[in-house]
Amino acid sequence: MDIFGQLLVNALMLGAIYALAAVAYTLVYGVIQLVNFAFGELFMLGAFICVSLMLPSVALFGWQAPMPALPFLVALPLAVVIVAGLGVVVERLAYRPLRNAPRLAPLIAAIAVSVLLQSVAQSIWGPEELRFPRFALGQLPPIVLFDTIYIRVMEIFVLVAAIASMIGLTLFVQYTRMGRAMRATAEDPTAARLVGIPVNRVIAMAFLIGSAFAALAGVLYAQTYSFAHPTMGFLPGLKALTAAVLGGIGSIPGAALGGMLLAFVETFAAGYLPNGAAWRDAVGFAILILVLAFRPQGILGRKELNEAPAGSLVGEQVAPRGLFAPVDRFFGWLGQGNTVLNIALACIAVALAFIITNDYWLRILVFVVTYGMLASGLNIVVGFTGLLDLGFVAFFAVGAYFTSILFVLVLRGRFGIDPADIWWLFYANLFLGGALAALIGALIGTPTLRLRGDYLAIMTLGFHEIIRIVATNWIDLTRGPMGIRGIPTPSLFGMPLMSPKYLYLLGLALSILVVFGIARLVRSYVGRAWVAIRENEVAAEAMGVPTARYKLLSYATGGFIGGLVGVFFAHSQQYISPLSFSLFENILILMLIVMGGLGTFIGPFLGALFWIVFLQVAQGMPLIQAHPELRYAALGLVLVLLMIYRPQGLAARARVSLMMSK
Amino acid sequence: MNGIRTSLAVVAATLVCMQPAAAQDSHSIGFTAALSGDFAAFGVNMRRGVELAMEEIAASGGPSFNLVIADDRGEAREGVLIAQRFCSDSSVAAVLGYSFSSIALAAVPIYDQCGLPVVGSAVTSPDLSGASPWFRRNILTDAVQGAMMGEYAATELGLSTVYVIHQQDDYGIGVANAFSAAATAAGMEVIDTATYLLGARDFRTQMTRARAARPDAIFIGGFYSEASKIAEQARDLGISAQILGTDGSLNPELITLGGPAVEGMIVYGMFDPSVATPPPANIIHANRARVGGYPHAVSARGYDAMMVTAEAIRMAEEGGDFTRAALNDAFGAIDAFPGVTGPTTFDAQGDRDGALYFLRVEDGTFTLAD
Repeated sequence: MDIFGQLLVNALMLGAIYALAAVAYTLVYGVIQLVNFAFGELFMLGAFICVSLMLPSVALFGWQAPMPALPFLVALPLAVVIVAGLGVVVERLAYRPLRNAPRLAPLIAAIAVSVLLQSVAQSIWGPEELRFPRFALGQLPPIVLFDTIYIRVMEIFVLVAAIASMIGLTLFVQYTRMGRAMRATAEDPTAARLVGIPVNRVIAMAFLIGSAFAALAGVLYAQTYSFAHPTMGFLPGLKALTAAVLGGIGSIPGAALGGMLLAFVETFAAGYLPNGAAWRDAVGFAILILVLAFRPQGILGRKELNEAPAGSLVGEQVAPRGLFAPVDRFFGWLGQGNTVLNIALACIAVALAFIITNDYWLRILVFVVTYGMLASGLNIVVGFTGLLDLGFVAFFAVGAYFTSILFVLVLRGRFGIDPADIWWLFYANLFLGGALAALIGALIGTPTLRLRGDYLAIMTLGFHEIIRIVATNWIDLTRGPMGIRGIPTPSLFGMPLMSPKYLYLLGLALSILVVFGIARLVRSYVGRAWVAIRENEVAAEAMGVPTARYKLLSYATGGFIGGLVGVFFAHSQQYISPLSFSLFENILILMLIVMGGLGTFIGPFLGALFWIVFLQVAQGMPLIQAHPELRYAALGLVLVLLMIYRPQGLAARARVSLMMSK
Repeated sequence: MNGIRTSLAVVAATLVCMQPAAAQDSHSIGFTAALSGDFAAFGVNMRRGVELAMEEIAASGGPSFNLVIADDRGEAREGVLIAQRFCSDSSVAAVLGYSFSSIALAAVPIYDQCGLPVVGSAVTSPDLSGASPWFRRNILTDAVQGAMMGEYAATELGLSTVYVIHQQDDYGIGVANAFSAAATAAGMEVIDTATYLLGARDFRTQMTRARAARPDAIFIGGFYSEASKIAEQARDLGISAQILGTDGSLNPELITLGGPAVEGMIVYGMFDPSVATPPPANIIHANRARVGGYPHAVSARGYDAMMVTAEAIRMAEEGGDFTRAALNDAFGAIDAFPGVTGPTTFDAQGDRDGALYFLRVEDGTFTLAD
């Protein structure tokens, strides 16, 4: 009982901040159905700008710049206004050109903007944390209740600020002209435009208000934990998004409720479970999964929001035109299943192993085929079946841990078996690891069957986080963060395939098998059922496609490939740790298939090639040598441009055509 | 922050060095660490130490080296590619850096394969001891350090109960286990152990629990950014227990970030800016001239790693044909080479012995605790 009161206060505090940031996501989502990942970074910028304004001088780009040293109550609104303006600029430059693009393009653009802003912030403010300045209001002695509850005065301020801005926003949306226009646009953008509502202005307004809320949340968070840092927005941003989904994305009271609920669950789980703090994030996601399993639209969400979003996930086919025309024509042939071309491509890929003598470039190719295969697995779920999955790395982790635990901890550790004697087990494990991941895929898939679109994305992300946290915390099973080392390299009849050349050839052989398998499956009735679900789930159901069964099959197939790649990855690296299965990897793999082209066979590999080669070539450039953090800024910029000029992906023409043309 | 200016100067210098005429007899030194993302501060400071050492060597008439920078961003995938990149670049004589044990462990098989010596300066996992004949580090392992602190807390400080909180990674688990074992052996009671995931900022729940347990001391097995917040949130909740930290907290930033909350906190480490023997004076002056303030402990180790590497290269070149294998042997032959963190000798496991200092935060600076 002696900790209950304090936990209550802690939870209220955290809940207020989650709720404010959740409003940002919910408002923009409500209007244009976009999960704007960049809110996490606007949250961070709000904190940095406020801190900078409050200091007498601050180091920007390494130079001491004089600053106005404003009091907190002046710096706060100023920072909020600046970030709100920035949010509108981001919308104008990065999202508005994508208004009619396929649905995933703006999502990828949002992630790219987020990567870009984070890198730029490190260039400006540096990699160290910036301390939140001490100011009069924050220095008052805490109020002590019942001897055990300590409340700082600023905590009361945070709570009041949160409640006041929520009420203000609700009134605005209910009673002003702009608020009504916003609700009308949320209801039906086309009809809103027809009745004369300036939709673009309404959307800009949603971004303005959303960014202001993110910035406010950022400042309050920075004040509460007394720091600002370039990467501070990622985790709270994710929590806010979770809170928004929990409460029903699109609903303002839902965001408030979701934020509070999440904060209470996390805080009390951390307070009362044994070693709860290490598990708090997992418990938060478990609650999310439970709620969504029983109430797919979130607690206060309207049911319609869980319907399949309008517009195909992959968008209309592109006609070869302009700069991309020759490329498009080439991929067009490839997409039609031109056997000669496919065999020629495979031969070139094999020949590369013998032409390239530099181990570094061969190692790059090992990663290209590894991530290409992984992305191919996700492509089944997202690109062919149209299910937005942000938790795919979980399967990858399952495969990698399965084989590593078996080889290193059990067979060698427990029974003292020399891995060289059982080299063949690696090949068996490719299938066993795949099968295990497929089973888990089907299990995880079951509670998601009722979910659509972005709800599904968040739920799968929750599954991934739970698996990652288990891998980190269950030290007896996985050795936790220490990782497992000494995983034997793949070998063939006693010949170790350890050099990058052999690893590449092995990976390539697996890739050819994987692509061939996917191609056979996709061109069969299974693929047609998947594509039918992707294009219109309701219509597919009405036409007699057992959608539940095919969705589970899609998860299981994708999971099988994820598990198989995990086994290959573990043995080619000889060491695995939870670091290789981070949350960002999920986003990365999704980016690879969108960049390369959803629903194509070559796209995942093309995306992986582009991504990995870009990062490696950039590493050597003189500018990047001086400012390593700008490498990801450049990548973010290239991604935004790619999405604007080529939202269907590089190899869009290679998309497998299983539909009758109009 | 100020690293940008430093690095501009160094890159300008590097570009000059890369002119073909000079390239003949100058070696490249690979440097890799997380230089962007969550934990960039460690890598950036380590890099600064390496650069200060290079400048000092050049200024005193020694050879000039090219520094090849690679940012691993804290991602294992990048770490493997970077290792292979250095391996394939025949001008790279040795590799310095590494912020994360997991990334070093993922890279070790590749260095093994191509035979390239590595000196890590911030990786402490016991798994790295003897992991490869090519891998060495000039930082003590968690086990040694945590144990010394446990004994110190029980016998010297006379504390009888402790609440342990550590980050859930190889570093935090390593120091916390060693600390708890040694403290218990010396008669202290470990009331409870709590963990947090790296990057956590909200420790009030753990501190609320800690307060209810009324310990004499709180031991934080983690880095300075989290430790400063734990200390601050503990003080906000009215906890007055003695706070103990590790070498992960021995950093001037701990005091900048923690302010009055870290006053009186005791940490340990191998580098002590308050001890004015001649070698530390060098780096302190150089660092102050360049960026102001005391150098970070991780900068000091980066500095020493570069100094030792230069010495090993000199020894290998004296011995005739310079090869990576000859350089690796030279590293093994390094005997008590003086540095700012004390003398460096690598044992057969690639680890290093060293003296630990216990330091207390007093009036906003680290001072020797007695």
